[in-house]
Amino acid sequence: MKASARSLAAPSSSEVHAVPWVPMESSRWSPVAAIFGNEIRRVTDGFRFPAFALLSIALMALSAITAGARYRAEIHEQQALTQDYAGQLAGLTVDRAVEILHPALKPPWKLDLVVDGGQTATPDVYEQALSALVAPEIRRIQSRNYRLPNQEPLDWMFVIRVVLPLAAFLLGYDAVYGERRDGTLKLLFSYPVARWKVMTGKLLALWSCLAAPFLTGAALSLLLAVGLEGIPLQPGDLVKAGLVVLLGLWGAGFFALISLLVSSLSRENSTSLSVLAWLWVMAVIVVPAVSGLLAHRLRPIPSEGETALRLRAINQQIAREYTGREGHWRRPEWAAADDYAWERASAAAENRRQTLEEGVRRQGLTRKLDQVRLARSLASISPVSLIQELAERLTGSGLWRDESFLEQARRFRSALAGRIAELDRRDPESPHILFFSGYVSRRPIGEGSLPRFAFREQPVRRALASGLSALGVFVLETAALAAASLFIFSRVDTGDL
Amino acid sequence: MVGAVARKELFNHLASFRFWVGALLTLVLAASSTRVAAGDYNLRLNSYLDRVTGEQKALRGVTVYSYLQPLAVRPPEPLSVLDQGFDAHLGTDVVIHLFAIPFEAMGERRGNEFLAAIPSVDLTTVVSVVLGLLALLLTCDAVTSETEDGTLRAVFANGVSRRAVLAGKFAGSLLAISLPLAGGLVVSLAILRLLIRAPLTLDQWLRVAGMAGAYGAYLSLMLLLGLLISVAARNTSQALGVSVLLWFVLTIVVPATSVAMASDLVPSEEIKRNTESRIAELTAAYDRRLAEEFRRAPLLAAVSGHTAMTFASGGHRAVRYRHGSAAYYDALAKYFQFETAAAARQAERVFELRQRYERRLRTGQRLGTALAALSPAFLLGRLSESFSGTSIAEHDRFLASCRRYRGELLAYLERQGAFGSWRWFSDDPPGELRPWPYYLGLSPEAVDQRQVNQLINRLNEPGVQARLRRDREAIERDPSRLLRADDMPRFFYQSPDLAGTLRRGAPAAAALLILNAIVAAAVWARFHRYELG
Repeated sequence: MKASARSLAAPSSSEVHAVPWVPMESSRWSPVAAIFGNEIRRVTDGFRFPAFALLSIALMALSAITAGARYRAEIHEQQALTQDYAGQLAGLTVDRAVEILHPALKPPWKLDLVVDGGQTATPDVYEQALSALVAPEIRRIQSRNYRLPNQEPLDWMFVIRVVLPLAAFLLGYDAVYGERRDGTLKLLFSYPVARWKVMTGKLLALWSCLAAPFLTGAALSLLLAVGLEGIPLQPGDLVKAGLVVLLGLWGAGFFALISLLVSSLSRENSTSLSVLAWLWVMAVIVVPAVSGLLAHRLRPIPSEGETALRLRAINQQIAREYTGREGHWRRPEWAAADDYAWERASAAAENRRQTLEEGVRRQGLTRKLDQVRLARSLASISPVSLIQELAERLTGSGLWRDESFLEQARRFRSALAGRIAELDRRDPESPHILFFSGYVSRRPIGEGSLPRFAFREQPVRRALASGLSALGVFVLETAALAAASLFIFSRVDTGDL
Repeated sequence: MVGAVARKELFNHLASFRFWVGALLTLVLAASSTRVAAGDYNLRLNSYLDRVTGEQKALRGVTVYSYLQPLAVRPPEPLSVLDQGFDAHLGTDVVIHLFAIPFEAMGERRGNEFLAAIPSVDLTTVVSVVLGLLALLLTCDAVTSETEDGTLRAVFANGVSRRAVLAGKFAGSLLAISLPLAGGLVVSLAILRLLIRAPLTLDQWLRVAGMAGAYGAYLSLMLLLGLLISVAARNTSQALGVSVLLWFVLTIVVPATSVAMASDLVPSEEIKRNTESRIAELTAAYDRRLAEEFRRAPLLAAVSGHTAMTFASGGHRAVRYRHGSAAYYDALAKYFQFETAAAARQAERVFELRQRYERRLRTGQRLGTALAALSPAFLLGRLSESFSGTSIAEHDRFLASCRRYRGELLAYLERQGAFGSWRWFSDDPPGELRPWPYYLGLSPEAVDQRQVNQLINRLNEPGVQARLRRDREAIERDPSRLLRADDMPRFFYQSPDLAGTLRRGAPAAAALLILNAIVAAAVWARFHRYELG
């Protein structure tokens, strides 16, 4: 039955090519080269390789184009906000400066086409006023089209995380099994070539087939980004992009190893591909989704109701502590009569209220960031998520960028407060009730006297350092996988089906 | 014949490894995502009930018409537990007032905006991705493997017709895939029923049935696609490869890419900025006209003995004056009649401008839909969102009902004569006005313009302050000051009914059914000419 089954089978790709030949003489490496060449031919034959090559290149090119469109749009919006602010600064007095909102802008992420890390969805404006009566606002200026479903933007990581693994699985699932079925594996192992060299040849071939379209796509993408879309990438950014390319290549190798491993283990072609397909679903969809769900349950973020309750409690506390003395503001001319006694008490109350409310807000933010951190750590079980985490850390995108932005914005406010306090001190006529409009200096502030916010991205060296632990985990995983594959492959039986 | 083939197919599938992995993943994901979503729903429901009761209480305490700004809140949709749809990132609260026509909803941002990169999963996603893959894997080698090991030839030799073979294979696979589908549905519905506070109505159960039907249509399409691949492929290996590639492109790549393109390549910032600046211009002009009108009345323009001493302002131009004289209030009434009449026109003009921006967004939406319509998973998503009531069309319907309610509210205010009366801006009882000079023993007319500042300073004297405070407390405690707005129309949100959801989901449903028919026809045509070996 089995013999006739083989004859009934339509010719598979490996049967078209000759049995792998191994030159008996010559150097140690040419058997590997021969296997490599043969394997390349086997993999690229058929529709799978061109389909994936096209898909990868098209997606990476598209990521450059859409990232460029997003970048221009964000720059435009931020410029409008900056101009408004500059308009407000013209002829500004200390008195007015304490009550207007001073924006800290997070510039659009230039490497968005490489690693988005959520940067197009997280807040990018942190407006703070010095007065305790004006609440800060953290929001996103450019709103996406709310009528479209929520979707992560396309970036290289989409290709590395989603397309490359599946390509590795689809191109490599029959690397071992296919040859075993056609009998060529037996022949191959009968030559005096070490098994690990055979595996290396196969691995290198599969890996090159994955790497070539990826590298082409990366190059095309960068060209489009800089040339066509006008994203101003600096040398530091290009280094970061290069790191991600290396990471992608490493990932391609990792998934190629998994492909070979499963192919060696399986008894049937369809099992091999099924297992790999389900592995893909688990790694790319299930593990991140479940970790998100777990993080949602284990580290819940405060709901609106909770926050409102806490703010009410703060109001009650202030009312208790300052019994009736808060909230009294008279016109400055009338208040000067008793040296602003009421106003000083009210200012103390409002400043205290602001401190408490700021504490609540900061706690809310910290809890949100903690939730993300937990989701990320849990998801790192999946190598795909680990690669995403690594990419974000190495480029300074993702959570780091958001946390750093919040931190830098807060320091900006401190710097502003210091400056305004200094300017107010110099004015002897001012009541010096900081920072309440109407009770501080009325003098104008000179041009360029106020500090401006300039966001500092993470330098490459720090980025590398922060990614070290994740890198270490990935190295270990790769080493373990390589060892396991080698072990399994050397034990592969070439026997008849 | 068909029955025998179907039974054999079913048992084959039940014995395969891929089936059990797929079924297990489906159950695990469905259970966990529904569990979390149900917990979320309860939180949302509690928050909704809190807001509604808070709103009722606030409305009962209103004393002037300009502060009468009811909040229209959309209740959370129970079926959002099964399909999250747009609910996660759209607002649910709209403040209804004279000065703006509702065009967007504010409110609960339940999401963690920093968690953008982790995909969210609900039952519909599980069905479209996991069960979709399983369906393709089940049928993609249905014909090729049997051809390869000769059983198909034997079956034909036994006199079974081609049609029977195809129908049997399809039926068997459909039965097989319906097991994990049913499992997932049962688990999700059990969690839904056990955990959420309010039981589902008949209409909601019917909509759940609709969702189940949508899932069935989608899975049937995937099964047929698998059969088509199986019939057209040269061997099992190729069939498997094509299936996985097709699933990947249809379920993952096409939706992601089309949304990315539609949102980034339909530029809307220009229009948004133009709209915002036009609205700012209009508003500035409006404010100027109002300020002019205000200054025109001599009583309003300068502080005098008639001026109202206390002025409170709230959101959306709500104002409350106290301690003014009758003449002052008359002047104010005339001014506010002007303001409210101009306001309605202004609101309409601003709304029209916003609609222009909205139309651009709709263009982006249509582009995204057109591009993604290639993907059956996307069609399933649309259809299932319609049934679960979490689609963007539902949100539009909510906003439309808010606008209708605003019309009703304005008509009510008109009937009560709110716009031209003192009650719009003051809760001082007409018979017992206490303008501020009264506390100094004077009448408003007796106050000389030049003495105003001195007299106002005298208001700070303890005796005067004490009397003012007493009066203020009396005002706050007097229940007759409250606006009796019991006959005010209430906002009522009609939750989506089956007919409406069917109507809204009809295009996606039609597309799925047509695709089913086309692929079935293609399978039949190809299998008809199928050569064995």
